[in-house]
Amino acid sequence: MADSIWTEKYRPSNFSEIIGQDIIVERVQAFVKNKNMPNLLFTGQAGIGKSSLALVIARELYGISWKENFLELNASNDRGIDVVRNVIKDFSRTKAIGNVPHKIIFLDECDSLTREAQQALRRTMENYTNTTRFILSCNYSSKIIDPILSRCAVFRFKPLTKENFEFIIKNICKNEKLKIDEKAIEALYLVSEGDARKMENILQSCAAISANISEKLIYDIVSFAEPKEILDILNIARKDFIKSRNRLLDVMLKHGLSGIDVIKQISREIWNLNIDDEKKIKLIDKCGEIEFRMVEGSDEFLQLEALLSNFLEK
Amino acid sequence: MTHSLNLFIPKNTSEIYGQEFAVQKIKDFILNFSKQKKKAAIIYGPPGTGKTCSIYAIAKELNLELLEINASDYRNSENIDSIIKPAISQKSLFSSSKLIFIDEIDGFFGTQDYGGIQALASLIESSKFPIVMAANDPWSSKLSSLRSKSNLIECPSINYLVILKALKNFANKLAIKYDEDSIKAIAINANGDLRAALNDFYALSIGRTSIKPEDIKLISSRNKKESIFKSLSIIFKTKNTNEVLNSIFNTDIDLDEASLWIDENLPLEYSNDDLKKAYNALSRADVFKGRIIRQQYYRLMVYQGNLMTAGVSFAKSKDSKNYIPYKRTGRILKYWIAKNKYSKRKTISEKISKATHSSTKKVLKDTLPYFKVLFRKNKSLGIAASLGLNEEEIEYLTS
Repeated sequence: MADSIWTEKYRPSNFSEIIGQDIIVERVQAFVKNKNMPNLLFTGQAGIGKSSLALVIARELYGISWKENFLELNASNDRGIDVVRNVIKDFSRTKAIGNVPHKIIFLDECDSLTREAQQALRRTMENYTNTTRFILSCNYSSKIIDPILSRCAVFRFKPLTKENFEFIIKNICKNEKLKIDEKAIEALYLVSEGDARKMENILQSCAAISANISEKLIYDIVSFAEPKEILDILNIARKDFIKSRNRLLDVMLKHGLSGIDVIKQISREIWNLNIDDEKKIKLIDKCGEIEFRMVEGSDEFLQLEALLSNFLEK
Repeated sequence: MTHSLNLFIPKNTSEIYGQEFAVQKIKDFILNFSKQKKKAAIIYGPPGTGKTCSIYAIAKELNLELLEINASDYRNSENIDSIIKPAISQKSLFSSSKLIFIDEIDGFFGTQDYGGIQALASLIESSKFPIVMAANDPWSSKLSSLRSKSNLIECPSINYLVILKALKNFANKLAIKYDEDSIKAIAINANGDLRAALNDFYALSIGRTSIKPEDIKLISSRNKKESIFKSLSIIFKTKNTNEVLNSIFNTDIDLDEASLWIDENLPLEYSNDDLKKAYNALSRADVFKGRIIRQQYYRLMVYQGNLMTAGVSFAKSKDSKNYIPYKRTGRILKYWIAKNKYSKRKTISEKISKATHSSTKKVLKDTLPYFKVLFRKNKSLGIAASLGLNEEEIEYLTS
């Protein structure tokens, strides 16, 4: 068991194990019981139970033959119009296997479907309701076109509360015979940013090092997996340009980062700097300008140097 | 109580809610097809107002064989030709006549559907059977060749009272009890989209015998106006970095639409230096929008979003506590009206240019203003006839 991935090991396997989404779960249970449901759109941030609920629906509805009647597509892998016109259309046209009312197509991360692909999905969602229902999931419903929203009952998943996290963490720790205190739970909650999947990954890495989960261990693990080096470089750049650019080159070579990788992190870290708001806006604007120049084919490192020079304080 | 989604699909035109006028116009178009100057019709309107189901109900009622092509089909010029060409020349096999229905014409796409629109446009004139198309937005420039050959019929968004009536009818049919407020909340929340209202109602009613007020919590807001108001007040009234940055990303509003709202309402909230700084941020956001479109590089949306939210928010030097009723921008509609007006000016000038052996540019500048005086004094119908001006163009010159 030591080798299993915790995010899968502790993925809810029935309705009662889905935490923090009571109203939605109650409704979806009724769908399963009555073997009937509208097309659904689950929206909400990552790691709060959207995919888990879709999987539970499939298992409860189809029992052991769930894999035959459930097509899972991750739209950020298969995001083009061809997938919708071929794979999805073909699957939705054929009848369900066994004594079940309809099949389910689960389209995960469908906010990364192109607009073209979304357009192509519209009528397919309606024309084959006798054989297939859709469950779509996304982080941002603003990226879903209106005609698709109109075809779905939209269920907005709530962010998990600290209590929800505590419940999940304690359950895992009990099962894995880990010791954890309140302070460490708090830390785990903070670094996971509301994402239970991330929390389970962090916790599993911690457990690989010690069965005694401490606040310090958690922060050590997180800083190893998500280096704070970029933030350090930005802070150095406020005082010493040459030092910061040398550090940047070292870091880029050490981790194999592209200019775009670096600028992605910079655009996030600017908000964490201890400088005033107006300056942050100026830097964000500059950051976008520099990223644009990179996309147009400029020398990435030179552009990053130009960006760093804007951090210097007189 | 188990029931199927099919229950909500109208079986004939009397079961269609809120589109009596559009249904009549579509029927007229089909029944008088041989007399039509324009051999096609575009049915347009927002999602969930009954475009597709009206076509189906009408086809059934008039006993027409229906051939549908939609965005889930490949629609390049070859496919359009090979499917539609035989259909518009042969007699119908089963019914007295045929109806060709091209759904989602705003869903024709670049490479995969290459040449599809042109192929369709060139087939329209030779069709022996009515061609009906449906779109959400018929005004996009890529549809102009279809638009000029089609009658435009609008399916407007549906009044909430009509949606309410529909919901009550279905509730009664399914023997589902409801209280007035809950069902009204579903109707209002749907924002003119009957299908959305029915989906919400359906999601709440499966396995139930009644719908109660506490159930409504499950239904998420479909009202963009309500959510944009919330986002605007976070941007204009607060400075909390996280809340401001997520104010738009966490809603159903896309950035371009949000930009219009911020633009319209910004001067109501800010003044002087604050206004200048905020407009600078908004304008920078717009620069990134242009770059996203040109480069097709969507990561720049981060900067577009950050500048239009935090950039505008942090521009203020003092907090305003005043309540401000935010307004929708009227700019887009005005553009559209003006563009229509200018397009007439252009076609008139082209006609004069041909007749007077001078360039369109010169006519626009030197001749057209005098023609306006001429036409306003008397209708100069002789000149109009010799230039081949149509009624709209004459109206433009005389008004």
